[in-house]
Amino acid sequence: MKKLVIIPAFNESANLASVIADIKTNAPGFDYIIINDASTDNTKEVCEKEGLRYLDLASNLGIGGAVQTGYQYALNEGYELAVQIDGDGQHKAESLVKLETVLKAENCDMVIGSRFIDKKGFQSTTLRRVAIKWLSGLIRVLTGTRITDPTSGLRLCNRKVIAEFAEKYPWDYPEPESVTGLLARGFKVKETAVEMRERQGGKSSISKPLSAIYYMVKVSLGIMIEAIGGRRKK
Amino acid sequence: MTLKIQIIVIAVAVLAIVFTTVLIKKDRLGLKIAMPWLVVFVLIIIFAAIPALMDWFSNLIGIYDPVNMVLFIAGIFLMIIIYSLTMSVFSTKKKIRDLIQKVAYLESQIKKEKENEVK
Repeated sequence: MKKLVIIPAFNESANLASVIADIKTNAPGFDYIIINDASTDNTKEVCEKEGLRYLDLASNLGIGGAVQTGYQYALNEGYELAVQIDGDGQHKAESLVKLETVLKAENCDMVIGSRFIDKKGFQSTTLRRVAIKWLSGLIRVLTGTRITDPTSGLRLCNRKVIAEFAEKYPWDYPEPESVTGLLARGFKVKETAVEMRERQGGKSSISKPLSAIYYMVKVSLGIMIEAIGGRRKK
Repeated sequence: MTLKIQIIVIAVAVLAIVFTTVLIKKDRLGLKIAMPWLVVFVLIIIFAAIPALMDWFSNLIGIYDPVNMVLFIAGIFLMIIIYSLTMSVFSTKKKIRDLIQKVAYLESQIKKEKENEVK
């Protein structure tokens, strides 16, 4: 079975090599593809020098467009499973194996790695947890499904979902919106407990108060729009 | 409306039509996208040439002052044009995104082919 790890990278030259090494040792059945989202550092040079497999975006598309490029690659190259992980080393490659086991055992379309089931590892700040609780509650009310960590960037999906995402994927802060879209269209989404590390380098894109407000408004609206016309599970 | 302002308004509108036509001719504007503006300029000329028409029309839609009617209609027209611009900006963005994604994939395919040739 062909399995692909999608690694969106914007200025991640410091972390990429260790992320790839982690995948090769702890998730050996997975191929990987790095999406260089027009990085302004030497991410591209690092990929060339280390002989890493990468796609090079001519202009910066943001996280949504970059991840979508990965799903399109998975679709074109005939991958049956694809998983996205962050390029900053927050996610552990050993989790990929667990996600795959759960996807097969539960026979579902997507498995999300959640920090908040076992509450182990890096738990994010209080304010962020409150925000995630709100999004999680919104998704539960609108779709009837409980997703404890809708913002998780660690998600494994099957070929049906790969095709969906290759066709349509949100532009920015895509995770909660795209999960809601899947649930509304009747896909089966499960969660499993994973541990995450604190980000190794770089800064979160939503650390300023204004961008936090923008984030909450945009993502909440996105969830509501995606849920319109969906089937609510009883 | 004094004759003076009538002439000024008509002259400006005619100039705007000439300007737009020249741009279309030089391929710096598309006829389809410029058409709403051409319609606006022609309407301005008609109303400036026959002010009685403006009184008649504002009466018709129940606005006392013709000036208010002009502002009201101008506002609505601008909203429609700007909204359609917002839509076309998004569709342009989407087309560019699709191109960037496709180019990235094709580039990687070319690279792969080349590597295979070397081997």
